[in-house]
Amino acid sequence: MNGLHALRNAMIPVITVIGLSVGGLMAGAILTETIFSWPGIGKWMVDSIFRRDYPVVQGGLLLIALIVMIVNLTVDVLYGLINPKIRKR
Amino acid sequence: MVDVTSTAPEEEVGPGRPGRLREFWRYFRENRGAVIGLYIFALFLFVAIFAPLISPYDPSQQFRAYALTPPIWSGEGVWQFPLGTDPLGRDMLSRLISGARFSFFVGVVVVVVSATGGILVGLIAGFAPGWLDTLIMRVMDVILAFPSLLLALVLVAILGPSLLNAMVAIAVVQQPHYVRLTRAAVLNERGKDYVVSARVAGAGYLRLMFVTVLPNCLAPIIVQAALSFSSAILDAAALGFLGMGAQPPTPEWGTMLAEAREFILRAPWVVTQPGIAILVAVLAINLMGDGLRDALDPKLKRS
Repeated sequence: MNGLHALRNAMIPVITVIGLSVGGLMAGAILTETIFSWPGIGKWMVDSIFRRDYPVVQGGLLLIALIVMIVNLTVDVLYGLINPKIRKR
Repeated sequence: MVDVTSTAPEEEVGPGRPGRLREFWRYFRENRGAVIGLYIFALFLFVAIFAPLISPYDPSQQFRAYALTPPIWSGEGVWQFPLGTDPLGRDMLSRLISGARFSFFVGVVVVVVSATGGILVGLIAGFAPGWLDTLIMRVMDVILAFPSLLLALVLVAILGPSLLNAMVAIAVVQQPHYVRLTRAAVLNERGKDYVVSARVAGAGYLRLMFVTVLPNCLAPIIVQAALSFSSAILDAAALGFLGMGAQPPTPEWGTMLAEAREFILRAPWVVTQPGIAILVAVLAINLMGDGLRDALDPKLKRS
């Protein structure tokens, strides 16, 4: 019972770091998918850059930035859910 | 009556510089990892500066008869090429040494460009009226919303693949960190008495920015510069690996990794050695940056 209450308060830095590392993970995905030829967003971006397929580059960049922003927004909303003091504002 | 004013203070220094440096070194020295990082970085710097004198051969010189010779420790190597050769017969040791020069060059240029731009914009944002401050920070937030490597990759795709464009792209991507840092430090310092008294004494904004406030904001900027040096090297290697940075036959570590990918089973030394070089360089700089942060930040609290 105590552990559950402690876990809720301890989660704040954890979800902060999750939110921050999504950006890094996306960057790493580009390299990893290129190395192992896994068909993912990263490899798609790199291939389209090689082919000078500019609309795909723009759309892909927008998509990845949107994903990162949605994750960060979720983190901010979760702050309010976990810590009632932040909710009041 | 004892003359209490005759006891001299312990470290009587004029502008405070020698005392501060010695104090900084005393705190830095306590962190073993940071000192090791500093020595490796000094070695890296030495190799980068004296690269043409140290490397046994020219990095582009091909010895076709010796293509893909293993390094010495594998048993079939020759002493002529201590670290082996790559598929075109170029000496690995010379290529790694020249790669150190390129990586160091990239790191220095990126840090100087992004720090200069970032500090200037941060100072302006710190001293600017509300709407300009908000505008600048929103633009920086937009840049920070993208993953750094991704944004650098797209910028290089637009500008064209070359080492210079890679450096520009990485500098643009790293600039918002300096802007945020400088603006926060400036806003912190602006309320303090010495700045207010300088303004009352008639200092113009230019003098306030560069002479009064900036020298006191330097500590977090120096830490950020050290850490972004290693990040710049890593990003340049990543861009080179993707074919968007230095182009072959430039002996940049990331480009060497990309060229050698197909040989990872046949000739693992061609792939692992640039990788280990990148690892050691980035690790050393990160350790040094951590030590710098620990040595500089408590100082602000210790006064």
